[in-house]
Amino acid sequence: MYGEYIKELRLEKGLSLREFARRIEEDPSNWSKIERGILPPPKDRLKVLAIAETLEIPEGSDEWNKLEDFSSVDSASIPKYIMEDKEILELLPAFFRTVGSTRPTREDIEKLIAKLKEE
Amino acid sequence: MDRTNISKCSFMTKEVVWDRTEQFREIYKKYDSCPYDVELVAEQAGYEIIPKRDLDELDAFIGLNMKTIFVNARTYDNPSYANRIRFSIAHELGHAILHGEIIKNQHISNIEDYLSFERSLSDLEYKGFEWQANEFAGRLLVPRHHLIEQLHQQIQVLRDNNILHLLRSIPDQIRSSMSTPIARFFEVSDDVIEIRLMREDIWPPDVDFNQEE
Repeated sequence: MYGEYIKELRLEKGLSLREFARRIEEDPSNWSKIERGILPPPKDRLKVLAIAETLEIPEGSDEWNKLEDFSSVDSASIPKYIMEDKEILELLPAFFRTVGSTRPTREDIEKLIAKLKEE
Repeated sequence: MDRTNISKCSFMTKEVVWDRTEQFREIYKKYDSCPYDVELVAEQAGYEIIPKRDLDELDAFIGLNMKTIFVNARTYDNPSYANRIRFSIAHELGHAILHGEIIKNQHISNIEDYLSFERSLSDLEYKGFEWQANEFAGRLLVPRHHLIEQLHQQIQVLRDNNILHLLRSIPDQIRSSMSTPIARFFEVSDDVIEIRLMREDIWPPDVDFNQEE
């Protein structure tokens, strides 16, 4: 909820993930997880203010209140997300070559699957 | 399913790739800018960019769903690699636009299918896919008309410094030197510009040397 909503606001402002993360001084990898609902929304007051400032959301506005509400709900209820095998399969590289142009072995693929499961 | 005799890569001319690139640009022209904000456009187009740690030597890849673009988190947030990552994202976008249907038609439903598909690609086919995605990325990040403008500006610099004749005597060196400021403008690598100048058939530039002498 929070993640989807804030991504929507970010894109409305024309900010890429990397640019947004840079402006709020957040690691883009972690911020991506927040937007995908894998990590809970930030609680730190300074961070919340930095996000609001970047998205030009005045404190007390409807958007501010909506973000606060979503944040409260998500902070209490983010379940540990475990991807199913089918989902993992869809994330495997459509085109896969290593630097040395060698073909991936079954072991390579299994290693990659393990990495994709780590969040 | 035996996939060894299936030819998957339809070989496209650069003009066909360019058409597909320009169609894509037209759809998202609202976000057109120079340098091209490929990350933002990819997200606006519904692709998900996920920085991923521990991808080792992989810079970026697009998942079989043709919607999720993974980028190596180590390089994604490092300004030194910004141009490289931009090109990688554009390249993966190229795979999605040009090869999405081909991947969907493979009906990959388990790891065995995946390995079988991967192994069935000949080097020729694989290189074909990569060439097309690179051409898409290059065209997307370096639009032809902007490239011509930039080239003319650089020729003017030669003219202003009375060294235009070098274009005739050492064209390769001049192309290499010009590529750096042009690359800075488009936020791509020098190599991308050198390739674009050749691929777009605008090198050597059409200059009237007689006028100068």
